[in-house]
Amino acid sequence: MFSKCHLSSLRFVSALALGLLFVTVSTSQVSAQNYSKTFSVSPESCGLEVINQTGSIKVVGTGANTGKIIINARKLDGDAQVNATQTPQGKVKVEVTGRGTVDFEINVPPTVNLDLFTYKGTIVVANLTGSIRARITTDGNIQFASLRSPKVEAHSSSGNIVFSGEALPDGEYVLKSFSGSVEVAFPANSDFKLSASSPSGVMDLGGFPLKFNRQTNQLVEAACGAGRAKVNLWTQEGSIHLRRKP
Amino acid sequence: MECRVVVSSLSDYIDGRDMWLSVSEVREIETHLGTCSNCRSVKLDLTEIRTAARELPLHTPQRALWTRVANIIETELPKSERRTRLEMPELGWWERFKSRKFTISLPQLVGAGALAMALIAFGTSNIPTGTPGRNYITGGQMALLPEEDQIKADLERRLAAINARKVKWDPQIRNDFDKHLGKIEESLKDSRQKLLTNPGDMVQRQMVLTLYNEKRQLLDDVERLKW
Amino acid sequence: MTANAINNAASDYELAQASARGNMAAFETLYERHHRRVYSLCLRMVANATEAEDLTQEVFVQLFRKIGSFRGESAFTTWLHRLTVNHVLMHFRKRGVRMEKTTEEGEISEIQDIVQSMSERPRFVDRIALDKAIGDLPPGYRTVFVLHDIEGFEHEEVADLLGISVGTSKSQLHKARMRLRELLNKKI
Repeated sequence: MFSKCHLSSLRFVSALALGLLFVTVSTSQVSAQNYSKTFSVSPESCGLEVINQTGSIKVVGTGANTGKIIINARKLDGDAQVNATQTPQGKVKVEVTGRGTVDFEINVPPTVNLDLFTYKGTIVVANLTGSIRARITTDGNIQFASLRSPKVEAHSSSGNIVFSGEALPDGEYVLKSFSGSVEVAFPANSDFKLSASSPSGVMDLGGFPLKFNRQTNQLVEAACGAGRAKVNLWTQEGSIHLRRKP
Repeated sequence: MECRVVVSSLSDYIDGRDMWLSVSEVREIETHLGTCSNCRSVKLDLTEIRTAARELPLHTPQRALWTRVANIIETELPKSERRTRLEMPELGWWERFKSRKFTISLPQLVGAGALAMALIAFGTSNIPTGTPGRNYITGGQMALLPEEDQIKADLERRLAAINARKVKWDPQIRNDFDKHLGKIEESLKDSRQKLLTNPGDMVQRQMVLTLYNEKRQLLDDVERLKW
Repeated sequence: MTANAINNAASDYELAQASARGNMAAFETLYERHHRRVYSLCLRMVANATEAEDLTQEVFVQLFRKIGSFRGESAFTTWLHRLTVNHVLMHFRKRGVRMEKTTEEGEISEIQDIVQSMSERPRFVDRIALDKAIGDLPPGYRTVFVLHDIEGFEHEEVADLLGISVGTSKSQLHKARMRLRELLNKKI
């Protein structure tokens, strides 16, 4: 009924259609593996909340205040869904539902206030001046780099917490790990009041001219300079290291 | 034979020359070792390392590890087998009590009597509030802090609700939760014991409160994820 | 006798049988007897205490699940030993740890050692220093060293476990020992 020519054409058209369909599916914004979304925010006051289940969260402040929060997520396994929304006030909330591992990489204006949470995975935050709350329920390291934040609160159950940044006057820095180590690097001219507790590990407070108020094997309360920033470090089973940056 | 070749053969020579090396190779190595103190020294060192490796001590993990293992296994036991476990040992308490032989000296008896009297006297006194360095007896159970009963009741209620839902979780997530809960509870037990020994230790009081807070936050997180 | 005393006198096989019937006290006794050996093996292979604890936990949970299949054909310790090694190796595979990590400088350092060995000393190897040095070995060297020299597997068994040739196993072992010698010499 059909000539060979017709059949060939039919096959060609079918193959082309399938190819186009494949290309469309694989480049769509919400593919099976990758997710990305961008929100416009006011650089003066913007907030970002991320609730992850298992997977990492990396947030980096861009050099210029672009006024955008750019979210990239990569789903590694499972059938997790990423939902990102913005409130009328401008706060961005990203939440993972379902089961699976999702890794986030998010670019933000440096002034953003962060609230990051993952049940298991790492958290990395760099180049920010807003307040930060980072919490890992179980395993995972938290790393802070180049921070000039007035308030940082971090917790991990069995990961290490590494902080490198400034202790701003009237700033509050609370870093807690149940069984990991807590390592903090402040500039040499920092001015803070320290409360460090490590029932099982060592405390290495090297380099700062501390005036001790209380000092036992498990708890140190001391001040450096006028003691304007408040620094609270705790690890039940790990060690505490306080370093002075040159 | 060159030193480099001899050295590269030394492990075979030490471990099983008959198996790994030919007769001629063994002869050449032994001839070389007879004249080269450097290679002899290397051979002695490698032999010592092998010997020392066999004598390395055993390491001990944290005590909480058994709690974690037991918690996981507990959830996997069928209910009927949990009853079997709880019935162990086979003897009832009365039989066990009857079968024991007690040898108590007079000083021990006097000491026990004094302790009993002290406990009775203490237990009937007014229950103080907010006074550091005191233990608080409420409802027949020793609370070490004034707010401890309430904290424990709240945590237990929430944990019971989570445990009921936990069976449906991903096994790895459940495992992680149990592991971390076990660690916190073990540390809490240790801290409470220290506080019991020294009720006036304010640092230890703070540690106990911190650990309760850890436990509370763990439950907060699970509830936040709506699992 | 109390239940604990009964358990303490029982053989591993009897405890395994009891554990298979859901007897937690018997399984706890097995744990008490063998957990340090399992943990030490895990610790030396992964060189990380937290990871080693996690692995030890997984091994004992797996042991509980499989304990009904232990028929007593071999010693319980041998059976448990194998279970532990297989579990750690599976962990390595999941993490993508390369078993044959080698170093180009290994050859050069051997020559330097030969030249300097006139001033050698150690005839007694500090066990604590050795334990630390094992942790500093590259993963591939460390695994072979732990399996062969510490755990007592033969090269054929190591090769079979790791999916490498016997020649590679022997070569890795020799390099591990030479590296340890280097590390121990530096501490003196």
